[in-house]
Amino acid sequence: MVWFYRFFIRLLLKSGYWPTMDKFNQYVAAMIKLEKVSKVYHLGDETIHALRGMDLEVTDGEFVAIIGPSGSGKSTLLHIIGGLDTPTSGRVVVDDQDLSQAGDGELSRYRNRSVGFVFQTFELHPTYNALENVALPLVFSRVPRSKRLQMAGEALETVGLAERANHRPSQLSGGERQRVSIARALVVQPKIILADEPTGNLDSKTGDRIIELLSQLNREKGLTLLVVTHNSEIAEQATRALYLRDGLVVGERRHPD
Amino acid sequence: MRLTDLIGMVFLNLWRRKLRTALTVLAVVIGATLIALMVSLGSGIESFIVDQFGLLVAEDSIAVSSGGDIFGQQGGHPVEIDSTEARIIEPFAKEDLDQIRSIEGVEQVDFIINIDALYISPQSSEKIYTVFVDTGPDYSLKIRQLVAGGYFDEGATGECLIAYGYLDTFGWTDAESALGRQVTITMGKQVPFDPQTRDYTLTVVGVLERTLSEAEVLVPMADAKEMARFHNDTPQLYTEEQPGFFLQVKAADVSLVDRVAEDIEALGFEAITSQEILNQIENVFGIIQIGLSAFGIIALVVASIGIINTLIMAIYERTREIGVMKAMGATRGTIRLLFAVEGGALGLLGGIIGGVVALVFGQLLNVIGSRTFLSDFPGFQLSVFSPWLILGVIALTTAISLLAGLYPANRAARLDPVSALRHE
Ligand SMILES: Nc1ncnc2c1ncn2[C@@H]1O[C@H](COP(=O)(O)OP(=O)(O)O)[C@@H](O)[C@H]1O
Ligand SMILES: [Mg+2]
Repeated sequence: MVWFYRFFIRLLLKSGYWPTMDKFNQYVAAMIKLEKVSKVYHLGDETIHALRGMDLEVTDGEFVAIIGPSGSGKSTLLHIIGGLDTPTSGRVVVDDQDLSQAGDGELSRYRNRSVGFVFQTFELHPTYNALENVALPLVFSRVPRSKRLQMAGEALETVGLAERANHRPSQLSGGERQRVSIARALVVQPKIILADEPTGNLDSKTGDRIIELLSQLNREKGLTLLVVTHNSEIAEQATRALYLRDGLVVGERRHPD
Repeated sequence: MRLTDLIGMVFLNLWRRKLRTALTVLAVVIGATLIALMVSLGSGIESFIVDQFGLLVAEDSIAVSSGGDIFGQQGGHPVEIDSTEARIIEPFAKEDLDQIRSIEGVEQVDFIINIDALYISPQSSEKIYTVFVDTGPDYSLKIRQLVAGGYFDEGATGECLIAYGYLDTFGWTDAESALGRQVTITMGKQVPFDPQTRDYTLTVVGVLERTLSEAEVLVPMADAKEMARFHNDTPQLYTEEQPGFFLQVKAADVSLVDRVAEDIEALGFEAITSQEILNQIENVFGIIQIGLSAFGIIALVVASIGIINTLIMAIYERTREIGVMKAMGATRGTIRLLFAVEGGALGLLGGIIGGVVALVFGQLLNVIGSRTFLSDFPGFQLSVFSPWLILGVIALTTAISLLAGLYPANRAARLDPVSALRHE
């Protein structure tokens, strides 16, 4: 039944009739749910607590900005939500799937179908052109080449880079590269986009446009969006901002709408 | 991941590092070429010897000796033996002949006549030449191919077949012109201080096709016996009373050869079939081929270390890429497959190139050989390639390098995606 509520609520939110539905929505249909999640790294004799029992709920269609000083656990949080890393303790449930219980096969499938990563340094394949880069995730879900390239073309169109399809990353500007990497995250039609400092390597004007693109995807496609950033202006655009320090959420601010 | 995508990705990755790929493949090529070439030379020479043997020896004949090893004892270290082992080998007796003849499946028993001729000289010439005189029953002579003339009859005397090599030596223009000419074979005595000799003049009735033995003259049994008796001063030699030490037995059918040989051995004689000799030749060549290939195998082992090294380098270079692929949904299995197949592809390329290089080298040797030292044996291939040899070498190099790729592939698969993405 959860899917029905979710669909219904999304409809209400989109219609703009019921902006205060937010709280109810969060209660019923948490897209991402973290319970007492800790992550401990061991570096020689040193023990590093990247996350210290974090609780978090994110609703379907939210735009969450994650802000905090370097080393506060922002990346670790995204990696755990994205199924790239597993918590030392605690429970992670995303889209009704318990990630803390999943094996490599399930996690890979989850990363392939349910989330899209956007990295600070773009991480594009230097020998592939933009189109082939965008199509890469579909290789791992065994989508045939022609279908793959067609879907990649559509994703490139969404980010406004259709005419750059045959360019290699080295022939693209930083902003364009980040658009390609956003298209790559979009191509599998995920429910969640996880962006780790997506504007960190861009000048502020280009960075603003990238944030504008992401926020547009959130608004128009209803994608759940988590963005790690140092930029407080970005936080302004988000529906919610989380402040992290030493592996804990130390503050939260909701957009007044 | 689809197979076509896998292959495409593997070859793209190899192409990205052309020089390194080429050098790694080169090591495999060296190993593959050595193995393929050595095996092909081995089988070429083996099949030549087997062919030659087949031209000289009838496959339904069995060589029988009255005792002891037909090839005798030679060389080695001195070893203590007891008196029973030191027995003097006696020649066959009349009863032995009868016993052998009465074995079921024995069609014919002949003496193996040993003729030590001194020399040969052609008609109206003072020059003398070396010669190997041989004889045999009709059935074993008739497997010899002739280029001119015909065989003599079993009971004939004063006729002979000469090797092709004598034509040139004697200054006879062609094989046809040799027919009807006469040659003289001179016999000496076995006892070294007896200077007596006797000449036997024979008419050439046929010319033998080229074989490895180019100084050969075949004479009828009757002449051969005369020559041997004079040489040994034994007028009764090669009669029922004195059959000598060696016999040639003909089985009624090729399928009976093995059983007849066993029955002969059961009588206390030594028997060896032509198949047994062929098997021994094959064994020897099998060992020679393995021995020669050993260098290639060593080269392949070294090459697989190179493959491991190349793949580990590739993992370091592509660590972030591996992290990204995992973030995009590649499983550990997919990453493992990518690197293992990359290793296998290096071996496959090396095997294919090595096979082709060996083939070209082999053909080159064949051409050079047929124009120089092998010009007397048209059709003989020094290096013989079967499709199986090429496929086998390719399969071997691919398997070895796939195996070599497993360790790096597992390392790549186990990489933690988060650390991989943090990797500089
Ligand atoms: N693989 C690792 N090994 C050891 N320590 C790590 C590892 N990954 C992260 N850390 C530590 O965990 C803490 C949180 O890291 P991270 O989540 O990357 O912070 P942020 O992204 O907020 O800068 C930091 O102190 C970092 O040094
Ligand atoms: Mg970080």
